[in-house]
Amino acid sequence: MTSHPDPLLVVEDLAKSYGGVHAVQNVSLSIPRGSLTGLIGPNGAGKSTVLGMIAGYIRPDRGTIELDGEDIAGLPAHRVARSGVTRTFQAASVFNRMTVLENLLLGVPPWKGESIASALAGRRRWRNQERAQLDHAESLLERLRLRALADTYAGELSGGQKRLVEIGRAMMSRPHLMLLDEPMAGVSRTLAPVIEGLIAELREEGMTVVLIEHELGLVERLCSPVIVLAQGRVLMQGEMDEARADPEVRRAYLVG
Amino acid sequence: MSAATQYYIATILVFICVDVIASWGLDIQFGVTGVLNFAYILFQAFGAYVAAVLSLGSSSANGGFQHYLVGLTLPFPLPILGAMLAGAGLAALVGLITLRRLRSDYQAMVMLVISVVATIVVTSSIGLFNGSAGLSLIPNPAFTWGSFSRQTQTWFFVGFCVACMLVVGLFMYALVYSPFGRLLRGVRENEAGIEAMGRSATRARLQVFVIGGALAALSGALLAEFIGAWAPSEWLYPETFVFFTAVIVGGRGSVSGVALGAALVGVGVQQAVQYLPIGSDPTVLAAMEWIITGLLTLAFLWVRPQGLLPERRRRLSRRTRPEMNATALEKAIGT
Repeated sequence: MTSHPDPLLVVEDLAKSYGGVHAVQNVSLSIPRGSLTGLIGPNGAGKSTVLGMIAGYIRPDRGTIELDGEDIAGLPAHRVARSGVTRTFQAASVFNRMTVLENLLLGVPPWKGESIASALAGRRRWRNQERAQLDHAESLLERLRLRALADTYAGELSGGQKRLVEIGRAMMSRPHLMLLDEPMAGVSRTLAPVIEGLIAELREEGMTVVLIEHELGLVERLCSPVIVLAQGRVLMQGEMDEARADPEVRRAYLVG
Repeated sequence: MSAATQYYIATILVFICVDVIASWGLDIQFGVTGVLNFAYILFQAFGAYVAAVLSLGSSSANGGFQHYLVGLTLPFPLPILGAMLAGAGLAALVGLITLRRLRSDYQAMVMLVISVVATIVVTSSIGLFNGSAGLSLIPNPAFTWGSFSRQTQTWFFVGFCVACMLVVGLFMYALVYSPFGRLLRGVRENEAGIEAMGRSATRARLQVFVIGGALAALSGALLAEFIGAWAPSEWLYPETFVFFTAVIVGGRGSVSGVALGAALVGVGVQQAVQYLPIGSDPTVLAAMEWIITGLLTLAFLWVRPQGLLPERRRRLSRRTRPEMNATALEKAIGT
């Protein structure tokens, strides 16, 4: 296994089983700081389970998850998110009956103005800070080419537009680590390149990203390194061309 | 105006205030945050009982014909404040048990069970709140306000109820149209999404559970002090669905809509059935009320799920869109 000098996230010996079925067993991996790491593998390999455990949505049976040296394994999802890990979901999870702009506003890290006390103290208590957030959100919408849809309910958007909103919301939180679970799922062919471009930009900006993706061409274009999972185990961690050459990986994909 | 007419109008007004306050409390839970509290009536009932036992005096008063806990004679407005506190406390207790571990559909089932169990417990343990007979002679605080006629004092109480409703209304607007309200709607729309953004959905649910509990208790306290009596037959579990209907008919998450829905469903339906050509048998009228309430819920869920006055879309983008500029320009130059 390739070792990286400065990992942001180190997962060791992670395991999860559901009623005797080992979904994930003894998974150890490390995510280099500033990398765009691809998490690939055949269906049922345990990719989403690993991602769910890192993000706090699934409680691991065993193992440690260290973010910048701090163990976050077993913390509830919102606590993991507060420590700087933001995820997106396989099925885009926007806030349907809220506008695109509101979706982005809910991306900002939890702030004082969001409390009951500040609501009762009146607008003056939170208005200025909200304005700053709105400015930030609107410039981000510009970048996502969603400006014209700012006041549209997110539930009325197309699959790809929802995906852009979801990634935009994640960007608003300025995370240390972004976990993207199949961001191309449900995205039309016209918007796929836009989303791919956005992910590439995140990489250029130095964001650490873990990407689960089925389309290996995309993974090859974007990711370095890649981690291959099969049947709940890590097969290899390395570069995509190494993965392609690895006989075990080839067998896993054929069997899986 | 005859005394009877005056009392009738005063009663309608108090009932409207009580139903509006209670419906708002449910709206912050169900309409805004998406919590299905099928035990909601329990919190109104508890508020009524607590206000009663905080003002009735010792249970040996009046020859000790009714039995209840506590038994104090606190001055106005302490029984009402005590009721709100108790409602909030009970909500915190129930919320901590049900809202933390269970998925929201199971939460709803547990609430319904709690509501049914509470009726049985209160009915069968006389020492709590005098069992199925309930409490009576609950003093109306307005009857001690100055040396006016009962009629005038009744109007004072109406005024107090309206004032309470207005204050709660301002409170609702402040909460719903704030960043806190946005967080609550986020919980309603997508729990996993809100957690991914570092907010605890459970915490938000608990918060609205406690707020709603306090508002329900306030409505119960006002109601019990006005009618002077309170018994388990007033708060059987289906009563909760009157408030759900009010919220659905008015418009989930819409403060003004829910007020309208509460007035129409809570009071309007009850008054309207009297004018139906079905005689005046109270059993038939009560049954008709339930039928109409149920049909209203179904009709609105099918035809107009957003309600009469739907939740407003928050238009936050401040830069005018180019196409809107064009329209404004066209208007300005008259083309």
